[in-house]
Amino acid sequence: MLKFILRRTLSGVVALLLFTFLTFVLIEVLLPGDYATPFRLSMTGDEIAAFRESLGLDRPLPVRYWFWLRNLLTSGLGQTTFRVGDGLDLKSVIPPTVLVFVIGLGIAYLLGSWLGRVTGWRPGWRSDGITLLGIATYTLFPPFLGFLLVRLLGPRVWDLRNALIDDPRGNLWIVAPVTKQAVMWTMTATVVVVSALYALVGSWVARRRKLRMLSLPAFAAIAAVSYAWWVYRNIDPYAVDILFDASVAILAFLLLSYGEFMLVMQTSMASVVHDDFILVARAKGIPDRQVRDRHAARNALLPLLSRFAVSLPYLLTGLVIIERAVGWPGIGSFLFRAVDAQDMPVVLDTLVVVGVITIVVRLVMEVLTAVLDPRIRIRIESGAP
Amino acid sequence: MNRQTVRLGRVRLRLRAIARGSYIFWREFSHNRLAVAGVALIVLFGLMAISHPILMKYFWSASVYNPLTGFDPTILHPAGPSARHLLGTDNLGRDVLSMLLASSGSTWMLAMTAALTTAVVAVIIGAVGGYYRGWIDFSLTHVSDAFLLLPAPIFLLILGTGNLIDLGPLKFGFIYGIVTGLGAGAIVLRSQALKVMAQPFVDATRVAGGRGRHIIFRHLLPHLFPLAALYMMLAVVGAVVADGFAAFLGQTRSLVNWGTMVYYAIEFGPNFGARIPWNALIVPAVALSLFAAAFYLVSVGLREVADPRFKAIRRR
Repeated sequence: MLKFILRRTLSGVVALLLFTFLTFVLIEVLLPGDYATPFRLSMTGDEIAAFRESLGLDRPLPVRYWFWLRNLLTSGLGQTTFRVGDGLDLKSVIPPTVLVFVIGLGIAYLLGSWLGRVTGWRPGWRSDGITLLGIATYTLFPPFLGFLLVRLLGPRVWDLRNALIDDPRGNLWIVAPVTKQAVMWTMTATVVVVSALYALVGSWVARRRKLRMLSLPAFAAIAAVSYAWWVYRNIDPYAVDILFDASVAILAFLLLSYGEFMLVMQTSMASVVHDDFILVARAKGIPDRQVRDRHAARNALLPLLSRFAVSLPYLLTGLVIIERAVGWPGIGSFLFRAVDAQDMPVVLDTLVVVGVITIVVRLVMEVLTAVLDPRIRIRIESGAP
Repeated sequence: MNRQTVRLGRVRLRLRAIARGSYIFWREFSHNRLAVAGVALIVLFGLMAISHPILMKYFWSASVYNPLTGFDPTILHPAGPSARHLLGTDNLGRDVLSMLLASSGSTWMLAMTAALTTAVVAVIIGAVGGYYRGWIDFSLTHVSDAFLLLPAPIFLLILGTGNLIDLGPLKFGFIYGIVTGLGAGAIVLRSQALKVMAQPFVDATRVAGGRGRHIIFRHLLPHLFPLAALYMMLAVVGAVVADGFAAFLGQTRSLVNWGTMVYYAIEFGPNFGARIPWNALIVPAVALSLFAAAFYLVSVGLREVADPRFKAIRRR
């Protein structure tokens, strides 16, 4: 197991290095101009040349990449020449994205695997309809979806929030003893830590007893423990407010991503349904539902879990686009603002941060699922998607 | 019997084999009703793309129906559906149906470019990695992993900023195809190639004296094509939505695009105090989703034909 983790980590680091090199080179080569270009109107040719030399921009590409990488590793992401956004920095936009990503992905996984289980078990016009609905939401145009959700659902969400939170004057955050960003950090950290703890304890328990790790009660337990922690820290009204803020983004992300889980689960279910052990289980007189959930679904889960790791980058990309569409102040909005300002160092750094998040989450998921099921380890090592 | 007759006979035999093969393929494919619906939708979009130039040339006057500059001075805009404008007009007085049809042509071009590029790149990288193991495979796998991390839509948006690079549909599809083909496509096809290379018939070919080129072209590639076709379809889904989004943000050079139409409907509606032109908003958004969904449905059908497990199930 340790060898597996080490090998995957090493492979992730190599992929990350290649990825940074790739983005660096592509952006440097494909986009005209460099760091000195914005200042060229106020300088003479010689001054520009001296400026470029002092920044090391006249060196060859690999050397510049090496400088950039060294500075990234030793002194962080650096500063921007432009002020991107309303004083947002990369540190403050990561928690919103991670929060929406974790919550949305959890719900999408539950919903998708359940729907896939049901539709794959019994084909017919009803499951065809559910499949069609899944594909329809999967291919929805994100700006259109964002517009519809914000316009049609936004006022309702606001009413519900006012009904649930005791905030008659709308000055919840003005009188709050904590800042929004601090609450956001705490919330994200809580959700991530509780999930990780659950995974550690759960995988240990699952080895001894046959418990299902990724199920509705499990997710409910994670949610309950997280909320209990917020109540204990006295930030629960603020946390609920942020959750209401995030609800539209979470819903949009959920709608756009559950379809993929559903379709993978459905395909895998349909290929398990005709196996001999299902016939045996039925012949023993086990109720239909139990055969579906205990016998078929557990074996059909394998491709879904190993697919999870590969489609993570796509899911994260989808979230970045959705954030832009519904106006959620996460990495996505930050990235698009930097793109609009043509602030390429910021764009590059944001891409690197997204890459690091993806690699880390992917690694954690691979290790977790491999602990759960040794067959996954074999699948991952043989390069199956 | 002279040589020419023999050659003709061979051609006829091959044609018959192709006809037979496509008949079997269609029989298996049409088991899935949704996949057939997808094909019908794709045909419909093809007809739409073809019909626009014809309509413009023979039936519609350019001053009213031009998708970019048309304006109907006889009614108020935005207008709902009427006999003259079947899908109504948008805030700027342009005919929505004409814009819809005009955009389907460029979307088709984008879809085909993205699909072909993805398939070619993914098949080449996957086959090479799966056949020549060792350091070639090692480096290709890691390059694929790196490309998997590079989100194609965002990369294209960055390239399109400030119109530094002219991103027409062809270029957009090409770059999108290269990024996804090197990323997810190559990873999936490589694992399939590994599976094929482990089959006994490859060993048998080797024993019989088959060399690299023969094995790759005669034994490996035919087994990769169904999966490559599947990934072509999935690439179209991603490329169409990505292009729509880039056009929505104004980062591509395609002037008539479903994404641009959605942008106009959203931005020029509420901001100017006018009512939202729902016909100009829903029509392009739904068309974009349907176009992508049609290719997805076909991919579901293809998966069932390509995946040997499903064949085995159906024969039982």
